[in-house]
Amino acid sequence: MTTTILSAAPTTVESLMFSTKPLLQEAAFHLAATPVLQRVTSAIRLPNGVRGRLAEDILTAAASVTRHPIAEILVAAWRGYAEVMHAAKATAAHPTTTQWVRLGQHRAPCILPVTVELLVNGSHAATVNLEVEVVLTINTVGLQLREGRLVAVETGHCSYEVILRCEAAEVTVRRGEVDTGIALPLTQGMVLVPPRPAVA
Amino acid sequence: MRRVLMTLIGIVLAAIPVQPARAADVEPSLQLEYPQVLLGGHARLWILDHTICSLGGGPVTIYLDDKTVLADSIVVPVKQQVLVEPLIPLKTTIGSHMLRSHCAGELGSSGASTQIDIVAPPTPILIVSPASAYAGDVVTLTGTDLPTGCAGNGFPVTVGGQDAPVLFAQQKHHQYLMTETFIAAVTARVQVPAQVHSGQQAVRLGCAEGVHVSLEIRPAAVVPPATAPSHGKTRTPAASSTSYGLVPPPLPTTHAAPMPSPPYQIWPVARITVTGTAALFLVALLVAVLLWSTRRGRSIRDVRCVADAVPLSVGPLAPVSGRTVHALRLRATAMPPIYASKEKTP
Repeated sequence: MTTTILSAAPTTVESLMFSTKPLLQEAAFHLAATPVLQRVTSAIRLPNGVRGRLAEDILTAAASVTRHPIAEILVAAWRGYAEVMHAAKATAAHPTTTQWVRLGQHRAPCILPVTVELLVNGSHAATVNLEVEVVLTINTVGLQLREGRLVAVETGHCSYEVILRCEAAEVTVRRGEVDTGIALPLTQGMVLVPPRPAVA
Repeated sequence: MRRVLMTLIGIVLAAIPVQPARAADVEPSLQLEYPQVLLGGHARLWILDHTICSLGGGPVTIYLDDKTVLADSIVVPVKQQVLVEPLIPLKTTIGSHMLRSHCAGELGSSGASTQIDIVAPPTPILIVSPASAYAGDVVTLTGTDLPTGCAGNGFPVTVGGQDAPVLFAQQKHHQYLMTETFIAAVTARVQVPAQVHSGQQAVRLGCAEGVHVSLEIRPAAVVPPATAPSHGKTRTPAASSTSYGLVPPPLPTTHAAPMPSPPYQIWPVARITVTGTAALFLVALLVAVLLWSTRRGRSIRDVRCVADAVPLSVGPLAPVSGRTVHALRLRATAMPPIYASKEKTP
Protein backbone atom coordinates (compact mmCIF):
# COMPACT_ATOMS: atom_id res chain seq x y z
CA MET A 1 0.00 0.00 0.00
CA THR A 2 1.26 3.42 -0.91
CA THR A 3 0.04 6.62 0.64
CA THR A 4 -0.09 9.77 -1.39
CA ILE A 5 -0.36 13.08 0.38
CA LEU A 6 -1.28 16.08 -1.68
CA SER A 7 -0.77 19.68 -0.70
CA ALA A 8 1.95 18.71 1.74
CA ALA A 9 5.39 20.28 2.01
CA PRO A 10 7.41 19.32 -1.06
CA THR A 11 10.24 16.85 -0.69
CA THR A 12 13.52 18.61 -1.38
CA VAL A 13 17.15 17.64 -1.67
CA GLU A 14 17.69 19.32 1.67
CA SER A 15 15.06 17.17 3.36
CA LEU A 16 16.68 14.02 1.98
CA MET A 17 20.16 15.11 2.97
CA PHE A 18 19.66 16.86 6.29
CA SER A 19 16.28 15.72 7.49
CA THR A 20 17.33 15.73 11.12
CA LYS A 21 19.83 17.57 13.25
CA PRO A 22 21.89 14.43 14.01
CA LEU A 23 22.29 13.80 10.28
CA LEU A 24 23.54 17.34 9.82
CA GLN A 25 25.95 16.96 12.71
CA GLU A 26 27.21 13.66 11.37
CA ALA A 27 27.88 15.20 7.98
CA ALA A 28 29.55 18.16 9.66
CA PHE A 29 31.83 15.79 11.54
CA HIS A 30 33.00 14.26 8.27
CA LEU A 31 33.25 17.65 6.60
CA ALA A 32 35.44 19.00 9.38
CA ALA A 33 37.88 16.16 8.74
CA THR A 34 38.39 17.09 5.09
CA PRO A 35 41.65 18.82 4.15
CA VAL A 36 39.80 21.84 2.82
CA LEU A 37 38.08 22.57 6.10
CA GLN A 38 41.26 22.02 8.03
CA ARG A 39 43.03 24.53 5.81
CA VAL A 40 40.21 27.00 6.29
CA THR A 41 40.13 26.69 10.03
CA SER A 42 43.90 27.00 10.31
CA ALA A 43 44.05 30.02 8.02
CA ILE A 44 41.29 31.88 9.76
CA ARG A 45 42.13 32.23 13.39
CA LEU A 46 38.76 31.55 14.81
CA PRO A 47 37.99 31.16 18.47
CA ASN A 48 37.61 27.57 19.58
CA GLY A 49 33.87 27.81 20.08
CA VAL A 50 33.29 29.02 16.54
CA ARG A 51 35.87 26.74 14.96
CA GLY A 52 34.12 23.70 16.37
CA ARG A 53 30.86 24.49 14.71
CA LEU A 54 32.19 25.97 11.47
CA ALA A 55 31.53 22.80 9.49
CA GLU A 56 27.99 22.62 10.81
CA ASP A 57 27.40 26.25 9.92
CA ILE A 58 28.75 25.67 6.43
CA LEU A 59 26.38 22.75 5.94
CA THR A 60 23.50 24.77 7.36
CA ALA A 61 24.25 27.51 4.87
CA ALA A 62 24.55 24.98 2.07
CA ALA A 63 21.31 23.31 3.09
CA SER A 64 19.50 26.63 2.83
CA VAL A 65 20.19 26.74 -0.90
CA THR A 66 19.60 23.07 -1.66
CA ARG A 67 15.85 23.19 -1.24
CA HIS A 68 15.53 21.94 -4.75
CA PRO A 69 12.29 19.99 -5.11
CA ILE A 70 12.63 16.32 -5.94
CA ALA A 71 9.68 16.82 -8.25
CA GLU A 72 11.77 18.98 -10.57
CA ILE A 73 14.43 16.31 -10.79
CA LEU A 74 11.80 13.70 -11.63
CA VAL A 75 10.08 15.88 -14.19
CA ALA A 76 13.40 16.86 -15.74
CA ALA A 77 14.21 13.19 -16.17
CA TRP A 78 10.77 12.36 -17.56
CA ARG A 79 11.10 15.21 -20.03
CA GLY A 80 13.98 13.29 -21.50
CA TYR A 81 11.78 10.44 -22.64
CA ALA A 82 10.29 10.78 -26.07
CA GLU A 83 7.16 8.86 -25.09
CA VAL A 84 6.36 11.27 -22.29
CA MET A 85 6.95 14.39 -24.35
CA HIS A 86 5.02 12.98 -27.27
CA ALA A 87 2.03 12.35 -25.02
CA ALA A 88 2.42 15.76 -23.39
CA LYS A 89 2.44 17.51 -26.75
CA ALA A 90 -0.51 15.48 -27.92
CA THR A 91 -2.57 16.37 -24.86
CA ALA A 92 -1.52 20.01 -25.09
CA ALA A 93 -2.74 20.09 -28.67
CA HIS A 94 -5.99 18.36 -27.72
CA PRO A 95 -6.92 19.55 -24.23
CA THR A 96 -9.84 17.15 -23.88
CA THR A 97 -7.65 14.09 -24.16
CA THR A 98 -5.79 12.23 -21.46
CA GLN A 99 -2.92 9.87 -21.98
CA TRP A 100 -1.15 7.41 -19.74
CA VAL A 101 2.54 6.72 -20.21
CA ARG A 102 4.25 3.92 -18.38
CA LEU A 103 7.94 3.82 -17.72
CA GLY A 104 9.90 0.88 -16.50
CA GLN A 105 12.79 1.15 -14.10
CA HIS A 106 14.77 4.27 -14.81
CA ARG A 107 17.01 6.82 -13.10
CA ALA A 108 16.82 10.56 -12.55
CA PRO A 109 20.25 12.00 -11.73
CA CYS A 110 21.01 15.57 -10.78
CA ILE A 111 24.01 17.49 -9.46
CA LEU A 112 23.65 20.62 -7.35
CA PRO A 113 26.86 22.66 -7.10
CA VAL A 114 26.96 24.81 -3.98
CA THR A 115 29.52 27.41 -3.04
CA VAL A 116 29.87 28.64 0.51
CA GLU A 117 31.89 31.80 0.93
CA LEU A 118 33.35 32.76 4.28
CA LEU A 119 33.38 36.47 4.95
CA VAL A 120 35.53 37.66 7.83
CA ASN A 121 34.87 41.22 8.91
CA GLY A 122 32.95 41.68 5.72
CA SER A 123 35.76 40.64 3.37
CA HIS A 124 36.24 37.40 1.52
CA ALA A 125 38.40 34.91 3.39
CA ALA A 126 37.74 31.49 1.89
CA THR A 127 35.47 29.58 -0.42
CA VAL A 128 34.28 26.02 0.11
CA ASN A 129 32.99 24.23 -2.96
CA LEU A 130 30.39 21.60 -2.24
CA GLU A 131 28.51 19.33 -4.57
CA VAL A 132 25.32 17.40 -3.90
CA GLU A 133 24.65 14.56 -6.29
CA VAL A 134 21.16 13.11 -6.29
CA VAL A 135 20.31 9.88 -8.05
CA LEU A 136 16.68 8.78 -7.98
CA THR A 137 15.92 5.25 -9.14
CA ILE A 138 12.28 4.85 -10.01
CA ASN A 139 10.55 1.55 -10.41
CA THR A 140 7.63 1.18 -12.75
CA VAL A 141 5.60 4.35 -12.83
CA GLY A 142 2.54 5.45 -14.73
CA LEU A 143 2.15 9.10 -15.72
CA GLN A 144 -1.18 10.61 -16.62
CA LEU A 145 -0.92 13.63 -18.89
CA ARG A 146 -3.57 16.16 -19.68
CA GLU A 147 -3.28 19.54 -21.37
CA GLY A 148 0.46 19.10 -21.48
CA ARG A 149 0.59 18.70 -17.71
CA LEU A 150 1.44 15.82 -15.49
CA VAL A 151 -1.76 15.41 -13.50
CA ALA A 152 -1.50 11.97 -11.92
CA VAL A 153 1.10 9.41 -11.07
CA GLU A 154 0.63 5.77 -10.30
CA THR A 155 3.07 5.53 -7.48
CA GLY A 156 6.01 3.27 -7.95
CA HIS A 157 8.89 2.61 -5.64
CA CYS A 158 11.50 5.34 -5.80
CA SER A 159 14.83 5.01 -4.04
CA TYR A 160 17.34 7.78 -3.71
CA GLU A 161 21.06 8.18 -3.16
CA VAL A 162 22.36 11.58 -2.17
CA ILE A 163 26.10 12.10 -2.09
CA LEU A 164 27.67 15.18 -0.54
CA ARG A 165 31.13 16.05 -1.79
CA CYS A 166 33.55 18.76 -0.76
CA GLU A 167 36.17 19.63 -3.36
CA ALA A 168 35.60 16.22 -5.00
CA ALA A 169 36.07 14.40 -1.69
CA GLU A 170 33.07 12.35 -0.60
CA VAL A 171 31.71 13.58 2.72
CA THR A 172 28.60 11.55 3.31
CA VAL A 173 26.04 9.43 1.47
CA ARG A 174 22.34 9.09 2.21
CA ARG A 175 20.16 6.31 0.85
CA GLY A 176 16.50 5.61 1.27
CA GLU A 177 13.14 5.63 -0.41
CA VAL A 178 10.99 8.56 -1.32
CA ASP A 179 7.28 8.53 -2.02
CA THR A 180 6.80 10.10 -5.43
CA GLY A 181 3.22 10.80 -4.51
CA ILE A 182 4.39 13.09 -1.75
CA ALA A 183 7.17 14.57 -3.81
CA LEU A 184 5.00 15.55 -6.74
CA PRO A 185 2.69 18.52 -6.23
CA LEU A 186 -0.04 17.48 -8.62
CA THR A 187 -2.75 19.74 -7.32
CA GLN A 188 -2.41 22.04 -10.30
CA GLY A 189 -0.49 19.62 -12.45
CA MET A 190 3.12 19.98 -13.48
CA VAL A 191 3.69 21.62 -16.83
CA LEU A 192 5.61 19.51 -19.31
CA VAL A 193 4.48 21.31 -22.43
CA PRO A 194 2.79 24.72 -22.28
CA PRO A 195 -0.74 24.64 -23.66
CA ARG A 196 -1.28 25.91 -27.16
CA PRO A 197 -2.56 29.51 -27.10
CA ALA A 198 -6.15 29.92 -28.14
CA VAL A 199 -6.68 31.09 -31.69
CA ALA A 200 -8.55 34.38 -31.82
CA MET B 1 -25.68 7.17 18.73
CA ARG B 2 -26.43 7.80 15.09
CA ARG B 3 -22.78 7.73 14.14
CA VAL B 4 -22.28 4.48 15.99
CA LEU B 5 -25.27 3.00 14.20
CA MET B 6 -24.05 4.15 10.79
CA THR B 7 -20.58 2.82 11.54
CA LEU B 8 -21.99 -0.57 12.46
CA ILE B 9 -24.08 -0.62 9.28
CA GLY B 10 -20.98 0.26 7.28
CA ILE B 11 -18.99 -2.54 8.87
CA VAL B 12 -21.74 -5.06 8.17
CA LEU B 13 -22.09 -3.90 4.58
CA ALA B 14 -18.36 -4.04 4.07
CA ALA B 15 -18.22 -7.58 5.40
CA ILE B 16 -20.81 -8.85 2.92
CA PRO B 17 -18.98 -10.30 -0.08
CA VAL B 18 -20.20 -9.16 -3.45
CA GLN B 19 -21.30 -12.09 -5.56
CA PRO B 20 -20.59 -11.40 -9.20
CA ALA B 21 -23.36 -12.00 -11.62
CA ARG B 22 -22.78 -14.97 -13.85
CA ALA B 23 -24.35 -15.94 -17.06
CA ALA B 24 -26.24 -19.16 -16.83
CA ASP B 25 -24.92 -21.10 -19.75
CA VAL B 26 -22.00 -19.22 -21.22
CA GLU B 27 -18.51 -19.25 -19.97
CA PRO B 28 -16.21 -17.77 -19.00
CA SER B 29 -17.95 -15.33 -16.71
CA LEU B 30 -16.56 -11.89 -16.35
CA GLN B 31 -17.71 -8.92 -14.43
CA LEU B 32 -16.88 -5.29 -14.92
CA GLU B 33 -16.79 -3.87 -11.49
CA TYR B 34 -17.26 -0.22 -12.20
CA PRO B 35 -20.30 0.78 -14.14
CA GLN B 36 -18.72 3.72 -15.82
CA VAL B 37 -15.07 4.06 -16.59
CA LEU B 38 -14.12 7.49 -17.67
CA LEU B 39 -11.64 8.40 -20.30
CA GLY B 40 -8.27 7.10 -19.38
CA GLY B 41 -9.56 5.28 -16.38
CA HIS B 42 -9.31 1.67 -15.40
CA ALA B 43 -11.68 -1.20 -15.20
CA ARG B 44 -11.52 -4.28 -13.11
CA LEU B 45 -12.43 -7.40 -14.95
CA TRP B 46 -12.86 -10.29 -12.63
CA ILE B 47 -12.33 -13.52 -14.45
CA LEU B 48 -14.00 -16.25 -12.49
CA ASP B 49 -13.89 -20.02 -12.66
CA HIS B 50 -12.52 -20.29 -16.15
CA THR B 51 -9.57 -18.65 -17.65
CA ILE B 52 -9.84 -16.88 -20.93
CA CYS B 53 -6.25 -17.06 -21.97
CA SER B 54 -3.29 -19.27 -21.84
CA LEU B 55 -1.28 -20.44 -18.93
CA GLY B 56 1.86 -19.42 -20.65
CA GLY B 57 1.01 -15.77 -20.64
CA GLY B 58 0.52 -15.40 -24.34
CA PRO B 59 -1.15 -12.39 -25.86
CA VAL B 60 -4.77 -12.03 -24.98
CA THR B 61 -7.29 -9.74 -26.58
CA ILE B 62 -10.56 -8.88 -24.93
CA TYR B 63 -13.39 -7.23 -26.76
CA LEU B 64 -16.21 -5.47 -24.99
CA ASP B 65 -19.05 -4.65 -27.31
CA ASP B 66 -16.69 -5.27 -30.19
CA LYS B 67 -14.22 -2.74 -28.86
CA THR B 68 -10.80 -3.81 -27.79
CA VAL B 69 -10.42 -3.16 -24.10
CA LEU B 70 -7.27 -5.10 -23.52
CA ALA B 71 -4.54 -6.06 -25.89
CA ASP B 72 -1.51 -7.03 -23.98
CA SER B 73 0.54 -9.95 -22.92
CA ILE B 74 -0.52 -10.91 -19.44
CA VAL B 75 -0.44 -14.04 -17.40
CA VAL B 76 -3.83 -15.19 -16.26
CA PRO B 77 -3.67 -18.26 -14.08
CA VAL B 78 -6.53 -20.69 -14.13
CA LYS B 79 -9.35 -20.06 -11.71
CA GLN B 80 -8.07 -16.83 -10.37
CA GLN B 81 -9.29 -13.33 -10.44
CA VAL B 82 -7.29 -10.95 -12.50
CA LEU B 83 -7.17 -7.25 -12.79
CA VAL B 84 -6.75 -5.83 -16.23
CA GLU B 85 -6.69 -2.38 -17.63
CA PRO B 86 -8.29 -1.16 -20.80
CA LEU B 87 -5.79 0.23 -23.21
CA ILE B 88 -8.28 2.33 -25.08
CA PRO B 89 -10.79 4.80 -23.71
CA LEU B 90 -13.67 2.79 -22.36
CA LYS B 91 -17.01 4.14 -21.36
CA THR B 92 -19.76 1.80 -20.44
CA THR B 93 -23.03 2.17 -18.67
CA ILE B 94 -25.08 -0.09 -16.52
CA GLY B 95 -26.44 -3.02 -18.44
CA SER B 96 -25.33 -6.15 -20.16
CA HIS B 97 -22.49 -6.21 -22.58
CA MET B 98 -21.08 -8.82 -24.86
CA LEU B 99 -17.56 -9.76 -24.11
CA ARG B 100 -15.33 -11.86 -26.28
CA SER B 101 -11.80 -12.94 -25.76
CA HIS B 102 -9.16 -14.16 -28.06
CA CYS B 103 -6.09 -15.91 -26.78
CA ALA B 104 -2.98 -17.10 -28.48
CA GLY B 105 -1.95 -19.65 -25.92
CA GLU B 106 -2.48 -23.33 -25.50
CA LEU B 107 -5.36 -23.60 -23.08
CA GLY B 108 -7.26 -20.49 -23.91
CA SER B 109 -10.85 -20.36 -24.93
CA SER B 110 -10.13 -18.56 -28.11
CA GLY B 111 -13.00 -16.59 -29.50
CA ALA B 112 -15.26 -17.39 -26.58
CA SER B 113 -17.99 -14.87 -25.96
CA THR B 114 -20.03 -14.29 -22.91
CA GLN B 115 -22.59 -11.97 -21.50
CA ILE B 116 -21.40 -9.81 -18.64
CA ASP B 117 -23.48 -7.81 -16.26
CA ILE B 118 -22.50 -4.45 -14.95
CA VAL B 119 -23.00 -4.03 -11.24
CA ALA B 120 -24.85 -0.97 -10.07
CA PRO B 121 -22.75 1.63 -8.33
CA PRO B 122 -22.71 1.77 -4.57
CA THR B 123 -25.17 4.20 -3.15
CA PRO B 124 -23.55 7.37 -1.89
CA ILE B 125 -23.79 7.78 1.82
CA LEU B 126 -23.43 11.19 3.34
CA ILE B 127 -23.06 11.33 7.06
CA VAL B 128 -23.23 14.71 8.67
CA SER B 129 -22.71 14.77 12.36
CA PRO B 130 -23.85 17.02 13.89
CA ALA B 131 -26.78 17.66 11.64
CA SER B 132 -25.33 20.51 9.60
CA ALA B 133 -22.09 21.97 8.41
CA TYR B 134 -21.90 25.69 7.88
CA ALA B 135 -20.07 27.60 5.23
CA GLY B 136 -16.45 27.87 6.19
CA ASP B 137 -16.44 24.74 8.30
CA VAL B 138 -13.59 22.39 7.72
CA VAL B 139 -14.96 18.91 7.24
CA THR B 140 -13.45 15.56 6.47
CA LEU B 141 -14.64 13.58 3.48
CA THR B 142 -13.89 9.92 3.14
CA GLY B 143 -14.39 8.11 -0.13
CA THR B 144 -13.82 4.42 -0.67
CA ASP B 145 -13.65 2.09 -3.63
CA LEU B 146 -12.50 4.78 -6.00
CA PRO B 147 -11.39 4.00 -9.50
CA THR B 148 -7.92 5.00 -10.50
CA GLY B 149 -9.07 7.81 -12.71
CA CYS B 150 -9.22 9.95 -9.62
CA ALA B 151 -5.53 9.80 -8.89
CA GLY B 152 -4.07 13.25 -8.67
CA ASN B 153 -5.77 15.54 -11.16
CA GLY B 154 -6.19 18.37 -8.75
CA PHE B 155 -8.50 16.31 -6.62
CA PRO B 156 -11.59 18.44 -7.18
CA VAL B 157 -14.25 18.25 -4.52
CA THR B 158 -17.69 19.76 -4.75
CA VAL B 159 -20.14 19.99 -1.90
CA GLY B 160 -23.67 21.00 -2.70
CA GLY B 161 -22.69 21.70 -6.28
CA GLN B 162 -20.02 24.22 -5.34
CA ASP B 163 -16.30 23.78 -5.39
CA ALA B 164 -14.92 23.07 -1.94
CA PRO B 165 -11.32 24.14 -1.32
CA VAL B 166 -9.20 21.10 -0.48
CA LEU B 167 -6.92 21.72 2.46
CA PHE B 168 -5.51 18.25 2.79
CA ALA B 169 -5.96 15.08 0.85
CA GLN B 170 -4.69 11.60 1.41
CA GLN B 171 -5.03 8.72 -0.97
CA LYS B 172 -4.47 5.12 -0.06
CA HIS B 173 -3.55 2.91 -2.93
CA HIS B 174 -3.85 -0.79 -3.30
CA GLN B 175 -1.37 -2.73 -5.31
CA TYR B 176 -2.81 -5.40 -7.50
CA LEU B 177 -0.78 -7.84 -9.49
CA MET B 178 2.71 -6.46 -9.86
CA THR B 179 2.52 -3.01 -11.28
CA GLU B 180 -1.08 -1.89 -11.17
CA THR B 181 -2.00 0.55 -8.46
CA PHE B 182 -5.56 1.38 -7.60
CA ILE B 183 -6.92 3.83 -5.13
CA ALA B 184 -8.70 2.19 -2.28
CA ALA B 185 -9.71 5.18 -0.24
CA VAL B 186 -9.44 8.92 -0.20
CA THR B 187 -9.63 11.20 2.76
CA ALA B 188 -9.91 14.89 2.09
CA ARG B 189 -10.24 17.79 4.47
CA VAL B 190 -12.21 20.45 2.69
CA GLN B 191 -13.84 23.73 3.48
CA VAL B 192 -17.57 23.65 3.05
CA PRO B 193 -18.64 26.41 0.62
CA ALA B 194 -22.27 26.39 1.64
CA GLN B 195 -24.40 24.92 4.37
CA VAL B 196 -25.12 21.23 4.04
CA HIS B 197 -27.46 19.12 6.04
CA SER B 198 -27.48 15.53 7.06
CA GLY B 199 -28.73 13.28 4.30
CA GLN B 200 -27.72 15.48 1.42
CA GLN B 201 -26.01 13.46 -1.22
CA ALA B 202 -24.21 16.22 -2.98
CA VAL B 203 -20.58 15.43 -2.47
CA ARG B 204 -18.36 14.68 -5.43
CA LEU B 205 -14.80 13.54 -5.05
CA GLY B 206 -12.71 14.01 -8.15
CA CYS B 207 -14.11 11.98 -10.99
CA ALA B 208 -15.64 9.44 -8.64
CA GLU B 209 -19.30 10.15 -8.61
CA GLY B 210 -21.43 7.70 -6.80
CA VAL B 211 -18.93 6.43 -4.31
CA HIS B 212 -19.23 5.80 -0.63
CA VAL B 213 -18.76 9.23 0.84
CA SER B 214 -18.98 10.17 4.45
CA LEU B 215 -18.88 13.72 5.63
CA GLU B 216 -17.78 14.30 9.15
CA ILE B 217 -17.73 17.61 10.91
CA ARG B 218 -14.39 18.87 12.08
CA PRO B 219 -15.13 22.45 13.10
CA ALA B 220 -12.37 24.93 12.55
CA ALA B 221 -13.29 26.62 15.79
CA VAL B 222 -10.39 27.70 17.91
CA VAL B 223 -11.65 29.75 20.82
CA PRO B 224 -15.35 29.95 21.66
CA PRO B 225 -15.76 33.37 23.24
CA ALA B 226 -18.03 33.54 26.22
CA THR B 227 -20.11 36.38 24.80
CA ALA B 228 -20.63 34.92 21.36
CA PRO B 229 -24.19 34.33 20.21
CA SER B 230 -25.30 30.74 20.23
CA HIS B 231 -26.78 28.63 17.46
CA GLY B 232 -28.40 26.42 19.97
CA LYS B 233 -25.84 23.68 19.51
CA THR B 234 -22.45 23.04 20.96
CA ARG B 235 -19.38 22.95 18.77
CA THR B 236 -16.45 21.06 20.10
CA PRO B 237 -13.05 22.15 18.85
CA ALA B 238 -11.23 19.24 17.26
CA ALA B 239 -7.50 18.92 17.61
CA SER B 240 -7.14 17.37 14.17
CA SER B 241 -8.52 20.44 12.49
CA THR B 242 -5.59 22.52 13.60
CA SER B 243 -2.88 19.93 13.37
CA TYR B 244 -1.91 21.08 9.90
CA GLY B 245 -2.22 24.74 10.65
CA LEU B 246 -4.93 25.08 8.07
CA VAL B 247 -7.58 27.34 9.47
CA PRO B 248 -8.70 29.55 6.61
CA PRO B 249 -11.21 32.33 6.93
CA PRO B 250 -14.82 31.34 6.22
CA LEU B 251 -16.12 31.62 2.71
CA PRO B 252 -19.10 33.82 1.91
CA THR B 253 -22.31 31.89 2.14
CA THR B 254 -24.73 31.46 -0.70
CA HIS B 255 -27.94 31.09 1.28
CA ALA B 256 -31.01 33.06 0.57
CA ALA B 257 -31.30 33.82 4.27
CA PRO B 258 -28.33 35.49 5.91
CA MET B 259 -26.29 33.17 8.06
CA PRO B 260 -25.56 34.27 11.60
CA SER B 261 -21.91 34.59 12.45
CA PRO B 262 -20.45 31.41 13.83
CA PRO B 263 -20.33 31.14 17.59
CA TYR B 264 -16.59 31.00 17.67
CA GLN B 265 -13.71 33.26 16.80
CA ILE B 266 -11.11 32.35 14.26
CA TRP B 267 -7.60 33.59 14.79
CA PRO B 268 -7.89 35.57 18.00
CA VAL B 269 -5.66 38.57 17.53
CA ALA B 270 -4.24 40.63 20.31
CA ARG B 271 -4.15 44.22 19.22
CA ILE B 272 -1.64 46.68 20.54
CA THR B 273 -2.23 50.37 20.10
CA VAL B 274 0.93 52.38 19.90
CA THR B 275 0.87 56.13 19.78
CA GLY B 276 3.04 57.98 17.35
CA THR B 277 5.38 59.36 19.99
CA ALA B 278 5.90 55.98 21.58
CA ALA B 279 6.58 54.43 18.17
CA LEU B 280 9.22 57.04 17.40
CA PHE B 281 10.82 56.45 20.77
CA LEU B 282 10.91 52.72 20.24
CA VAL B 283 12.43 53.07 16.78
CA ALA B 284 15.09 55.47 18.06
CA LEU B 285 15.90 53.11 20.91
CA LEU B 286 16.17 50.18 18.52
CA VAL B 287 18.50 52.08 16.19
CA ALA B 288 20.68 53.13 19.12
CA VAL B 289 20.97 49.57 20.37
CA LEU B 290 21.87 48.32 16.89
CA LEU B 291 24.55 50.98 16.43
CA TRP B 292 25.99 50.28 19.85
CA SER B 293 26.18 46.54 19.26
CA THR B 294 27.74 47.03 15.83
CA ARG B 295 30.49 49.30 17.08
CA ARG B 296 31.42 46.96 19.88
CA GLY B 297 32.16 43.97 17.64
CA ARG B 298 33.98 42.01 20.25
CA SER B 299 32.37 38.66 19.79
CA ILE B 300 31.51 36.53 16.84
CA ARG B 301 27.77 36.49 16.97
CA ASP B 302 27.13 37.38 13.40
CA VAL B 303 27.29 33.88 12.02
CA ARG B 304 24.51 33.99 9.51
CA CYS B 305 23.59 32.01 6.51
CA VAL B 306 22.78 34.11 3.51
CA ALA B 307 21.41 32.49 0.42
CA ASP B 308 22.31 34.68 -2.51
CA ALA B 309 21.21 34.15 -6.03
CA VAL B 310 24.23 35.89 -7.52
CA PRO B 311 27.19 33.58 -8.14
CA LEU B 312 30.34 34.62 -6.39
CA SER B 313 33.88 34.37 -7.59
CA VAL B 314 35.72 31.36 -6.31
CA GLY B 315 39.18 32.22 -5.11
CA PRO B 316 41.98 30.81 -3.00
CA LEU B 317 42.23 31.15 0.70
CA ALA B 318 42.93 34.62 1.96
CA PRO B 319 44.61 34.39 5.35
CA VAL B 320 43.53 36.99 7.82
CA SER B 321 46.33 36.54 10.23
CA GLY B 322 47.00 39.51 12.40
CA ARG B 323 43.43 40.67 12.27
CA THR B 324 40.84 40.21 14.92
CA VAL B 325 37.82 38.37 13.70
CA HIS B 326 34.81 40.41 14.60
CA ALA B 327 32.23 38.91 12.38
CA LEU B 328 32.10 35.72 10.37
CA ARG B 329 29.45 35.33 7.77
CA LEU B 330 28.75 32.43 5.51
CA ARG B 331 27.23 33.10 2.14
CA ALA B 332 25.98 30.06 0.27
CA THR B 333 25.25 30.15 -3.41
CA ALA B 334 23.66 27.39 -5.41
CA MET B 335 24.46 27.06 -9.06
CA PRO B 336 21.79 25.85 -11.47
CA PRO B 337 21.27 22.09 -11.14
CA ILE B 338 22.92 19.87 -13.69
CA TYR B 339 20.67 17.16 -15.03
CA ALA B 340 22.39 14.24 -16.63
CA SER B 341 21.64 13.26 -20.15
CA LYS B 342 18.71 11.05 -21.01
CA GLU B 343 18.90 7.48 -19.87
CA LYS B 344 17.88 4.55 -21.94
CA THR B 345 14.15 4.40 -22.48
CA PRO B 346 12.72 1.69 -20.25
